[in-house]
Amino acid sequence: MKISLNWLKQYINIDVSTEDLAAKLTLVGLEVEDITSVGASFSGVFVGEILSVDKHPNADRLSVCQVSMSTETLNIVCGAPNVSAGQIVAVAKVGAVLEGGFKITPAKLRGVKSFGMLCSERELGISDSHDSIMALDPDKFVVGNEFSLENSLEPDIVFEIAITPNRPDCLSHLGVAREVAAIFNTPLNIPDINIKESTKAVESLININIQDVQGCPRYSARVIKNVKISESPQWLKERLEAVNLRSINNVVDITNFVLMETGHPLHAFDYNTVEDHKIIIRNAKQDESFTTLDSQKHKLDPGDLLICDGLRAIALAGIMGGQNSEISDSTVNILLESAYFDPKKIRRTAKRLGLSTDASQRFERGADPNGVIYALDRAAQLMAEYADGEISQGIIDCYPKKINEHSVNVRPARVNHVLGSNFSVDIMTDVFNRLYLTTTGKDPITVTIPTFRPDLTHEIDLIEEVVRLHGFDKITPKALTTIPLSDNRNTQVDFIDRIRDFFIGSGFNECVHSSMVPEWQAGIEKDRMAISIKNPLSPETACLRTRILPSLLSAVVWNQNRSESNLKLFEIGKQFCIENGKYYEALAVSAVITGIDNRGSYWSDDNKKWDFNSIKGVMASLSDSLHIKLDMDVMKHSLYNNEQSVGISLNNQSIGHLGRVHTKISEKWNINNDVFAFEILISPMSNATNARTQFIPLPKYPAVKRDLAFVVDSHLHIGEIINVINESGGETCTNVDLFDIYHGDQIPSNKKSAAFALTFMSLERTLTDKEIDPLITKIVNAVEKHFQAVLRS
Amino acid sequence: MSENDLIQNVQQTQKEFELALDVAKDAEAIEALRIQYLGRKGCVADLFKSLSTIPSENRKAAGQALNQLKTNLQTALDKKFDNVKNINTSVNEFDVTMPGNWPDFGRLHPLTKVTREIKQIFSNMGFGVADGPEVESEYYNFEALNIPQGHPARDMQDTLFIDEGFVLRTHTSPVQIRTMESKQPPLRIISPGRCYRRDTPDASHSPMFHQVEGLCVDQGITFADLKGVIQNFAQQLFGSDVKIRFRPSFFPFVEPGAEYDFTCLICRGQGCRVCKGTGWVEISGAGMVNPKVFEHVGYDPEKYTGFAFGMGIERIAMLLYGINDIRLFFENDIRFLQQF
Repeated sequence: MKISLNWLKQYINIDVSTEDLAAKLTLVGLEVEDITSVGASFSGVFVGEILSVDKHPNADRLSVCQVSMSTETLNIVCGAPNVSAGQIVAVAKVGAVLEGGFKITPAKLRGVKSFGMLCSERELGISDSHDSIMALDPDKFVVGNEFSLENSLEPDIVFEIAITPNRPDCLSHLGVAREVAAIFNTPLNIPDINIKESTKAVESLININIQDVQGCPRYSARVIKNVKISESPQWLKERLEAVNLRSINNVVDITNFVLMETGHPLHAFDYNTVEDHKIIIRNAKQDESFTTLDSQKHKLDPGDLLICDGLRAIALAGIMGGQNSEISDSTVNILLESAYFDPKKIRRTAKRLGLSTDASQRFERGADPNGVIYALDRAAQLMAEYADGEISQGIIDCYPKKINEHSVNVRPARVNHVLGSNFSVDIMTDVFNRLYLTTTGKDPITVTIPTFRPDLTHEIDLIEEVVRLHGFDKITPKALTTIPLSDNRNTQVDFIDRIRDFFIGSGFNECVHSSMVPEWQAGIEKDRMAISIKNPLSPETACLRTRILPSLLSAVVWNQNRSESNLKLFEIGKQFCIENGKYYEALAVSAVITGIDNRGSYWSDDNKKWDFNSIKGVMASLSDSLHIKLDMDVMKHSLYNNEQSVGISLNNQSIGHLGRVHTKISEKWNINNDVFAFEILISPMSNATNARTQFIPLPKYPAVKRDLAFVVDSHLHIGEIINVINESGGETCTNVDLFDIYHGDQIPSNKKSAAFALTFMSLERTLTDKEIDPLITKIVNAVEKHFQAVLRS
Repeated sequence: MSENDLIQNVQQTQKEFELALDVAKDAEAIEALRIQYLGRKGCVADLFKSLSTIPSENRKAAGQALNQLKTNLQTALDKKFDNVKNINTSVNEFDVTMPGNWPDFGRLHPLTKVTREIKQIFSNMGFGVADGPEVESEYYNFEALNIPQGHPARDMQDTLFIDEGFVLRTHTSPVQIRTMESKQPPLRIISPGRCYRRDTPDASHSPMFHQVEGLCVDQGITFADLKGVIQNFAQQLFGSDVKIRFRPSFFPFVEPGAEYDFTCLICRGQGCRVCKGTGWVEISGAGMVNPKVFEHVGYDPEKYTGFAFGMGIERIAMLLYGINDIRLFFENDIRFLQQF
């Protein structure tokens, strides 16, 4: 909301700096977001003629000018490139004050004295142009005269105030003035109404019928005859200009002025176009349409409220008038409407039609049903004054059920109980009274709420008013002392942090991506149904990601395009999809590894290319560090290459997958290198980790190591052999490590040799060969039997 | 010369060479040995010359022996040379200015770091952590927070809609409601998490961002407690000289509602470009839980009072690290990530 300072000062008498007023308004909740000055805002500027221009002795870009001011000649240093002898220019003499409060004083520029300044348009607040001085028309300006702009506005300050949606009363100059009056405790001067009516009774001129009393609790009107439509007077133009409204003609400008003054929207109809001189307020019919005065045709529904005459609709109630009845240059008689409409109804229609107007904004937040007549009279009076109108006698006021002021009880103890303050009853009463809320009693204080404050309905609303005006700074901060003994520990949060710590310790950088992705990324797996956004900002953010992995692929390509292809990245976030018709979201962690291991010693060239085993090792060590047994088994998955893809499960429940990202997928992202990745769900893991690791006593007896090598079919999975060794070795066999795979001359071409290091250990005694040998035999037999393997001697 | 003589000579030469090499201690001595044995006029060259005096049928075997000798000597010289060089490097020319070998380590995202700091500070004040869904029902995101259907307050945030009744949560405040529905006072929680608004991205707006919401409910909780908590937070995070300021504002789920500011971190309150000369930077909103919200979750508003506050994690991170564009957080450029 734009608030003009000149306008505001019509209603209050304050002597305070602009900045101070802005700060005070902000501190009562009317946040001043911007302060601008409008109109000419300079003084001490005169018309001069440049007599001569010489180069500055010490600066290439400066000139030294002799400027005639008629009675004197000034020496002025100028930096503008277009300065030349003979020009008529605006000269800010010593003592002048320019745009932004800039004062002109005698100066010395690079050793040359200068007594004034040749003005550009920016210095005079005319435009932003600052490149050249403003050359004036010699026929229009007389050298030596004070310089002034043609049609210049009176200098004014305009505040841009962010009015919160609960304060419709502040969407006007009188409303803001009421707040200012409360802040400074000064009287508010509301303009008096002084109307001269003709003898013609309004009842004989117009007939009003409200068909939807809920939608329109009050409708009142005056008729003003014989108006002269013309240009508005200068003061009215200035007021509207200051709040960014275009001046149209005196009658329309007056309705807009009163709107911005009182906050109450008005509408002026051309009386002669109102058929049958009848006004009917009714809901639209199915499929009815209406053309508003901006020439837009709207299709209506039965929830929309219309103002109609005897034949047709002439306005969309509370939002915008119609083309068929608008004020034109030939308008002579005016029907002036001032009404109160149901906020919800107006909002519904305005939203549906995408029509937000100054009127609809106020009605939907809540206008003052009892401010209707003041606004009507104020506008009528101005139309008599500035459009020579004759105001017909009386007002038609349809107000079937008066909306009364209500009262709210405020318990002073409750005020201090909520605020933690020690405010006296006098302080509270004083605040209420300053805000034009009348009070009776002391405990409780009964506060009467005028209808212009629809936001004040409960005791808490008035508690807020007390602290709002009295100041939050009057409350002393207190340290919370009692600690609630509730179960505040969130183990899932701790668990997630353990995952993060694992990754950064393993050289992965953490990423955070938007959860919103384009449709093609969300649909990367055909059998996963993405959640799409109804009103996305762009197709790039149309869906929620179904996996975290695609986001990491985006990070890979982003960095690859910036010459960094060796990456280890992870991200923790939610996967979203639709499962069984319901929205499903689950926290997951994904990691990618691509390029080479370039962190090692940079003077050796044995940098290793990351491969499948690298990502598998990350997964295995994550599982180990979290003390959760995750199983990895062969499983084809569309995200990964057929040959290099495994499923990850926990207690036989699938919780993720791992592998080499399928070439077809990395091609979609334009990634040049192989990418190895995994993604697993977090909740099943954190649920499984409720038991703490139990300490195992350190072995007192030495471990025994034995190596075994088997020749097996070259297609046999090593993991299967390890499983068989573990099973047959029992508890005593505490560890199995693969240490060699060999294909070559010594063994048949369709075979491979796999060598394992086995560790045997007992907590009770030192193991002897006698105990281990039978175990070895058992293991060898089991492996040979299962896989037709042959032990290599 | 006979073939046997030559082979004996070869063996003799090898032995003498080995003895000489043993005593050679530096590169110069080794180079002298190389010239003596393998040089153009060295003794191996002499032996090759004598090859012509051997009968042709035995020449092949002798030649092989000679070639072997030459290879042996060359290998031994190279090896010794390398040893000597390494000794010199490690004893006399150790270069401590060589870059060290970095272990492989990663970095936490700055938003994670800041979230951890925030959690830590509030944890010390007895606040636990709670979470909720990001695809949220309109009831939790709006109605239960006293933002009814058809209320102008719904326009305060541009919402991304999923479907009838569901939105992407516009704040983490729904977690307040979910927590109060499942627990009785006293309670103190913060809920960090992702939020979504239909804001066109620019240097200070992102359609996805992170928020921390705080909630404290008990008997006798007052606005003074809220000020105390916010002040403690501000001073722990930004320094003990940081002041706080509350300005009245409007959020339907709190009343009295306020926005709170911290002393500008750049100029420490003197007034600068960042704070537009005011000496204050706006942080976020806070206030006393609106009794209407308590009614939604079945708390008795006469018995309990509480406060709630919010803050944008990106905003705090930008202030702490001097980051000037919110979009940097989500580009995941490795040159950005590795700075934290």
